[in-house]
Amino acid sequence: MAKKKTYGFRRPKLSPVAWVVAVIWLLVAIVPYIFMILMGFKGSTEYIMSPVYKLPQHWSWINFNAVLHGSYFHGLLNSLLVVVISMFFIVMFAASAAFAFARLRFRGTAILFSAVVAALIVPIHTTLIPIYLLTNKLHVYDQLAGLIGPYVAFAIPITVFILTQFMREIPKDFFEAAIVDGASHARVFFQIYFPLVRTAVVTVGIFNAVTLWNEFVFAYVLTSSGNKRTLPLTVFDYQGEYSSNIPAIMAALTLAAIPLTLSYLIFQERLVNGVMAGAIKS
Amino acid sequence: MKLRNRKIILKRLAPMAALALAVTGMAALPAHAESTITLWHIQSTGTGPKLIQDAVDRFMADNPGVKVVVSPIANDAYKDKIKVALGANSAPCIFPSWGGGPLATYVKAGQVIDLNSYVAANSYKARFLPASWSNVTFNDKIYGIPVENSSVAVIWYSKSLFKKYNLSTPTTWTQLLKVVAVLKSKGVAPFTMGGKAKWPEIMWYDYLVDRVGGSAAFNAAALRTGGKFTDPTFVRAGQLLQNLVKMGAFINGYNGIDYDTAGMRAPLYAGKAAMELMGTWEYSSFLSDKMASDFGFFPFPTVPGGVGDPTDVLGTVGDNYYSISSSCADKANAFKVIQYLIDDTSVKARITDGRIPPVAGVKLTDPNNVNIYNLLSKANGVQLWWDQYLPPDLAQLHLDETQALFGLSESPSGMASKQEALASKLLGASKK
Amino acid sequence: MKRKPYDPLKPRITTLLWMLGPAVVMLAVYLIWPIFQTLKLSLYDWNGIDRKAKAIGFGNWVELFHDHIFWLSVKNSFILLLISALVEIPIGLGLAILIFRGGKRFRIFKFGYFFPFLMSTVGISILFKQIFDTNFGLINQVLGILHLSGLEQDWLGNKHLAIYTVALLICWQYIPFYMLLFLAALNGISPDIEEAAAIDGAASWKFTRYIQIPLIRGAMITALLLIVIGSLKYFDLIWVLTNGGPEFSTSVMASYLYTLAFKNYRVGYASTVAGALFFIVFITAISIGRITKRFREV
Repeated sequence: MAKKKTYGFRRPKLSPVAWVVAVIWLLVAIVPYIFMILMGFKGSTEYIMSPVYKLPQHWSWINFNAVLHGSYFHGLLNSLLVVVISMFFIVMFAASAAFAFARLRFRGTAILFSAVVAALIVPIHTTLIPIYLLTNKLHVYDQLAGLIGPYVAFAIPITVFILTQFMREIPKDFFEAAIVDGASHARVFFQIYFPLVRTAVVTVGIFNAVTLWNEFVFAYVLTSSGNKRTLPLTVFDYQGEYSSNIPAIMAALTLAAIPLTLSYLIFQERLVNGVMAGAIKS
Repeated sequence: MKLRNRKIILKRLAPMAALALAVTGMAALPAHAESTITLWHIQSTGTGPKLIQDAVDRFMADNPGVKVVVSPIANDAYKDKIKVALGANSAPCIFPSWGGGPLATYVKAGQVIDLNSYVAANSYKARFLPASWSNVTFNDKIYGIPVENSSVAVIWYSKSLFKKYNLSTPTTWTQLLKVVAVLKSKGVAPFTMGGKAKWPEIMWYDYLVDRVGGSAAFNAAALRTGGKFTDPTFVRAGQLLQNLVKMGAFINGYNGIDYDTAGMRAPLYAGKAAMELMGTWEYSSFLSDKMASDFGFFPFPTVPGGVGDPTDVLGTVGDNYYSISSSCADKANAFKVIQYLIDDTSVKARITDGRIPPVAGVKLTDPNNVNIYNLLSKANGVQLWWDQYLPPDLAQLHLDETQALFGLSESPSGMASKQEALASKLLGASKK
Repeated sequence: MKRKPYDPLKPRITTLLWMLGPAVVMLAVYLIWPIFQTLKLSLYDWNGIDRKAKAIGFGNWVELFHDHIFWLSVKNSFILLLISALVEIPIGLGLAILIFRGGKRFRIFKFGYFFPFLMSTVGISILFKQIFDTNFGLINQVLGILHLSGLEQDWLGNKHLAIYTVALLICWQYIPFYMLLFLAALNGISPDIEEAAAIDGAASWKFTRYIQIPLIRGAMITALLLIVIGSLKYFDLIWVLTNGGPEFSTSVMASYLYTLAFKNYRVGYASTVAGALFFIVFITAISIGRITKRFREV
């Protein structure tokens, strides 16, 4: 197998303009974030009395400590459980369906695919009351397990849609040749198509993970006790608890954003590797 | 190579998934108790949650075999959540409300039980301030027990700013306009306002209606006993309000400022605004923000030519109220739980927390609360917040229209006719 | 073991079942069935609490056509759609190309650019309430020290401005996702093509313009469709940041239906709005699909 080559357009000379644009957008993207972190260190009256753009007078960890001694870790664990399990099912269910839509010929392919994609447009709020009733009937109300159903279902349309698009881009010859060689459909899916769309799986995976990590409405309506709360809800509670203490709320927001930021930092490397692996597909 | 990778991934994932299912599965095991009572409440601040939990613990100690499951819920979102639960017939045994229109809706739907026989026993009813029952009584039947607090809207002002500009607290509209003019000339916004939330704005309109036409004007229109929302009282209230808005009495951006996260209070603390019309609960916020020493209050002023009783106040005595849902399996014990929520121990705890329990003959210590209690006991009438009193659909229109009135994009008469149209649609034509 | 002779390209029914079954069942239970429930409810007058709903035929639908707040919400939804499409796609694409060309040198940018997408909507709304605040906000205060007080705005309280403020904030939140989508597509272009172009000595901007961009047209169409659908049913940030106000100036279809169901206690009528929302998104998505299909074939 050939080693990865360097190509002319992957490492073009960068004009100063490119650097300037890149830096400006970096500011647009992260200044609010930095603002949020700095706020967390301020005192509650300092926030109101002194201009917002000033650095904190004393760097105090009080706000962060208060949040960490609250229900932060409980919420973190709950979110982690729900998101990891949901993600597993989403990828499994959606990737196999996408493969079927992209490559298998059966009656009603087009109609079923349109139906799945049309499900993209279903607004969460339309389904809230029926889903609440269903959750009660299944005896999973106020349990983390009750969140997984809606989470998986609502992520399926976009995941199927994106993965189908990507799988269709893979030359059909791959599929036909493999089948004629005697490979089963399952084998073709698992060994050829799934690895080839890895980048897309990661992309849409990030999208889903972030969406679910921050999901509010279902978590809010389908759970009620404090020890079943996911992280966004614990943050939401801080808003009530520290109604006037904006810095404390900012500290809670910062801590809530850290897990996702860290996992993106780690995952991003994987993404780069995945892309590189994709480049050696000859 | 690739196949192995996949297997490794699956191997790594499988135990995690199993663990997760086990954890969530364990939580699904039913609790073993002879009777289980669920209780929702929205006391999320201060010692509120502890207060409720303590009362429930006392109940459970005295009543072994009955388990009470308490779920604290955040305020604004609770209103949506209880609606979903009631609609789905899975309401908790005990839940809080503000009385008025929404509770009336639950009553009409047969979702809450009549408590008359319960409060009649041992003259339990006499324990509470008489004014506290009006918001939970429909057709002479009581559907909720007043528990948490008493709060009315007053005008809070910054003592230091009033001293600095040599102002005294106004008692008439004309005096108020003068105060507004002085503050404006000094570059201080007279009033702060959290218009995004809408409900702080209707306090102005509702008070003005009371001062212009008296409580009779509103009651005749809302109860459809000959009054209309298009009567001159309502139009005049709107005009007075819009004149105030046009004077620039409210802080810049008032229609986008939130009440939550201190958006409305921040200008007061920073000295950018001098006054706010707000419920007396604001005092506990001032306390927890360590700003209480700078703020005092005065009652809403009278208006020229107005026939309203100047002692009338806008607010509630006793909310939150606790009701029992008709789907509750153990109603007798549920009522006992409510009694523990407002027994003598709980009353003491609430007073320590800076609240005014709706119980007759309480002894208050905080001078500010004594003032509020005096205001309450002097009041000839307590007008419940309109958005709590009116049927939800009309309440929402009232909120929307008042915001438009503040935004100067709706005229007082336009607002009046829209409210009257919806009122006659929902409540029928007004007849003498 | 010998198999029966059959068309090898044709999948067995069991294959189809395990591949499609789980996804289809999940959708049917959690999305499709509730939609039918909703359409049924749209024919009733129900406050969500009464045990019985009153059937009123198409009364709600008639009311809908005369409801100017509904039409204002539709208009706002389409404003959001236009702004999102015109801002998110070009900027997302530009950033993707920038990062693609920057390669390893721009890794830090790629990381930083993603930040807006990593915060929860609740978080963003609390944060930006502080940034947009008229009296204390970061933007107005910075404008103040730059002696540009004339530019200070009532970002969320001015009913002519608020929808644009909110729309741009939504763009800010979602640009990173589209950037990543385009980046994945750019990385998917076969290296052979690049190599061939490099050997031909094409200038790098020409390569981008004539080869890369046309080759990721598929991803662009996907992005457009996602934006169309996402914008028309958008709810989250608008709800937490403005509640659809002031004076319905930021009300969109989803926030209006939420208000109706949970504030006005009109679940029946809210279901009508939900049904209308469904049809509007459906028709728009299909039209966009038709138009882009032609574009794809060109």
